Amino acid sequence: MGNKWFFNLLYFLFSLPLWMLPFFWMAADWPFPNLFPTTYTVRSLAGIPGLGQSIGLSLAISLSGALISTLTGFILSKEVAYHRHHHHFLLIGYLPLLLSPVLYAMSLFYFFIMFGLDATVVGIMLGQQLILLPYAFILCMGHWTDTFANYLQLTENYGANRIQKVRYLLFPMSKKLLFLCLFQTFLISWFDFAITSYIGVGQVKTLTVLVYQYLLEADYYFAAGISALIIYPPVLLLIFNRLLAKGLAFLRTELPST
Amino acid sequence: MIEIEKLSKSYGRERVLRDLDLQCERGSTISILGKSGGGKTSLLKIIAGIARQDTGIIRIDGVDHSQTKSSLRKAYYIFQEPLLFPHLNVFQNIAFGLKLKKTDKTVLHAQTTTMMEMLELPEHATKYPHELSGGQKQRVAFGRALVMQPQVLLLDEPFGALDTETRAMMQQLYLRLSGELNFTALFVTHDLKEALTVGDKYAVLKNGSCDIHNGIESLMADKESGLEAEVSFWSNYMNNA
Repeated sequence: MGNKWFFNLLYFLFSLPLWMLPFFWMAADWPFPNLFPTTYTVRSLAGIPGLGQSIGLSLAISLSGALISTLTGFILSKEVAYHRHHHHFLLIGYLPLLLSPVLYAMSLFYFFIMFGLDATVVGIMLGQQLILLPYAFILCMGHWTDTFANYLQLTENYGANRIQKVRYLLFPMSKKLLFLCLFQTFLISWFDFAITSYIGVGQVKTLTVLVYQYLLEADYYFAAGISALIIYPPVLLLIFNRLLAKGLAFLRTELPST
Repeated sequence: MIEIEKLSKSYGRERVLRDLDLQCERGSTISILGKSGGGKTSLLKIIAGIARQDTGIIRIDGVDHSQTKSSLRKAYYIFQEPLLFPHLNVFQNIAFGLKLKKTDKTVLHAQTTTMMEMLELPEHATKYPHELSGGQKQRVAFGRALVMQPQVLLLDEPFGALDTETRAMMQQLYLRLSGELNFTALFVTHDLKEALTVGDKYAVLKNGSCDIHNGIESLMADKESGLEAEVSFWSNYMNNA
């Protein structure tokens, strides 16, 4: 019982910024040192120019980025994992993650200008892949164990073709990893500000760029509102994902026998 | 029948098999003994076609399979781990190979059911691997291979991870199935008692090649087999007890 309270307290403390965002968004007056605003007002986000377009743009960039990096990272890691020089490839995979994303974007910005990719959606997607792909690659590398290699040999021994290997072995035994990787890379891309604003030169207005724009204009209340738009969907997705996982586990026990 | 001629395999500079010759008559089992890292697993994987030899010839029932695809050899490899698919139940695991071959549904069902009966598994048909004991899992792995009607069975310490009692039961089951289905088998084991129980002949792998022994006396005379040392240990132990 004591443990339950302790962990509930930790959950609350670590998610405090999430609870505070709506107060910030709805506050009309919030004098220091009050813990909560003294008066509230309703600020509709519908009036923010280009908000719908920003949401669409952020979703498109993050979804496509997550899909591309997850699939490429998965395939690449499988090809590399059983190579005798796999540790070199793994080390190379870590290199892009050593620099902060903004320094990384800065150091490669020249090439983006050269190929006309600055201030474009394609440029941002490509820039994000420089972080997302190594991340997915490293996450997937741990999946390819000696036991998995034996499974691959077993399916080969039983005559599985490429499609059958994917259908009966690779997908069912990797789907948890694939969903995790997809979710994580989506989040990295969804919350990215550094690469998006640097390579996009502020011209490609994703949600994070929009937040920063309102912060610069000292309109903290709208910035908080847009931040809520950025943060709550992934949180809801996470909750939905856990519920779905529970539901699937329940369904699995109900599957017909043969 | 398996015939191996001058089989060689190297990993980098390390030569694990060198000009190895081996013959195993149809319907018989050869127990393979030898030190760890001595090339036993490599030998079995090469025969199964899931690893490639550098040189040498592999014939199964008179047909040269040195370069054929693994699935065309009808030589099935049984790993030390059962390697059951966790998302498939017992029935589906046993029927795995038949499903890959796109076997007719009625035939698939009949053959899998027969195999489950032979392995005393029908009551576990709907269970998933995590609900089975170690011995049951290994029986399913056996069923998955045997339902394919193999010409050759390649067993790589299949009972190595089981407790003594289950291991003895599995050895008896193996002998029964071997008699009923008349398959040819190479059985790798580190356990001398197991080697003597399941094998018709014994092969000791050393320095990349192997010596075949037709009986216990001959095996006893081979120091590398460890049989003489084992017998003398137990006789000393019993004398001192």
